[in-house]
Amino acid sequence: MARHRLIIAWLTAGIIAGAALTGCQQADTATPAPTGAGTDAMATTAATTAPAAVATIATAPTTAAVVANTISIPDTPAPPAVLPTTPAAVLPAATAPAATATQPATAPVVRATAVLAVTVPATVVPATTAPEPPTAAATPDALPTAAPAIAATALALPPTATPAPAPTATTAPPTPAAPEGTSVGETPPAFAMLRTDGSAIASADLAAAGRPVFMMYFATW
Amino acid sequence: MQTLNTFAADYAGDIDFYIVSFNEDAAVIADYIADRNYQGFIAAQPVGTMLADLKVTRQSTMMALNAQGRILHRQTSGDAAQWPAYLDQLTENPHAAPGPSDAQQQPEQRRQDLQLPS
Repeated sequence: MARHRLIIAWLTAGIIAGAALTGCQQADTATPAPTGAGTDAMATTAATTAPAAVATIATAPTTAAVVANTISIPDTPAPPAVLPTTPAAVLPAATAPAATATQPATAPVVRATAVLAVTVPATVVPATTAPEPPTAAATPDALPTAAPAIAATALALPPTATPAPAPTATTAPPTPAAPEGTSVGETPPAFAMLRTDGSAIASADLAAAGRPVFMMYFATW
Repeated sequence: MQTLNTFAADYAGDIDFYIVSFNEDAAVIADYIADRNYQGFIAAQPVGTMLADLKVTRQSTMMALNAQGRILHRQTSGDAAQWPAYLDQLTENPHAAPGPSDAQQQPEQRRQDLQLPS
C-alpha cells in the first residue's frame, strides 16, 4: 500500500514537472529573444521568470525546437515558481495545502492516508488501514493541527458502507386518474350546479377545492 | 334528508353537503331546508344535462365524491344511515378510493333500481 502511494507520488511529481517545463517554455516565448542569441538567451530568460526550471530549460536542444513547441501550447497561466523535487513534497501540495517544507518525509504519507479514509467508501478501505492515523498522532509536532482532526474523523466513521436511509414521505402518493363514468370508482363527466344566489359551481371547481363532496338529489313533491 | 340532517353537521368543515333539486328551482329546496331548520346543507339546482350525464334517474339519489372528484359511494335510494361510514372515510382521507367490494356492489344495485317502476 505504501509502495503504491510512493509510485503515485513519483508520477504526480513527474506530471507537475512536465507542466512546469511547458509553462516555462511558454514564458520564454513571451519575451522576445534576440535574433541569433540561441539557447543561452532562452535559458537566461527562464532563469529570471522561473528559477526552479533552470536545469530543465538548459537542456533544451535548440531555439527552433522551443519555438515549435510554443506554437501548439495553449495560453495557460504559468505554473508555480517552486517545483517540487521529491514525491514526499508533491503529496502534501496536492492533498493537504497546509503542508510545510520542514515536515519529515513520512508525515505527508500519513496525512494522505487519513484523507483517503475520509473520502473513499469504507468497503474499499480495509479495516487494517484504520490504525495508521495513530502513527501520525505519535508525532504531533510534525503535523498540522488539522491532521489529528481528520484522523479522528476517519476513525469515527462506521465501517459499513450502508448509507443512511433517506427520510420517507409521510403523505400518501396520489392515486392514478380514474376513468370517466358514473359508477363507483369512476370520475363523473363534467357537470355544473347553480346556487340560490345565482353563482355556478362546476365539477372542476369542486375538485380544485380539494374537499370531498356529498350530493343528494331531492324533490319536495 | 331528515336522516341526513342527524349527522351532516358532524362533518361541517370537512365535507360539503349539496342538496341538488331534482327538477325544481334551487330556491324551493332552500326554503324547504330553512322551514325544517336543517343545518349544513347547500341548496343547488342542476345546470344543463347534469342529471342525465350523471344518470340520476330517481330522487333521493346520493353520491359522494372524494377530493379528486372520484365517486367513492353512490346510493340510488334507501336509508341514509349507512353514509357515516363512508363520510368518516372521507374525513380521515379526502382522497379515499372505493374498495373492490363497493365497486362490484354498486352496479348491481343500480341495475335493480333501474328495473323498478319510478
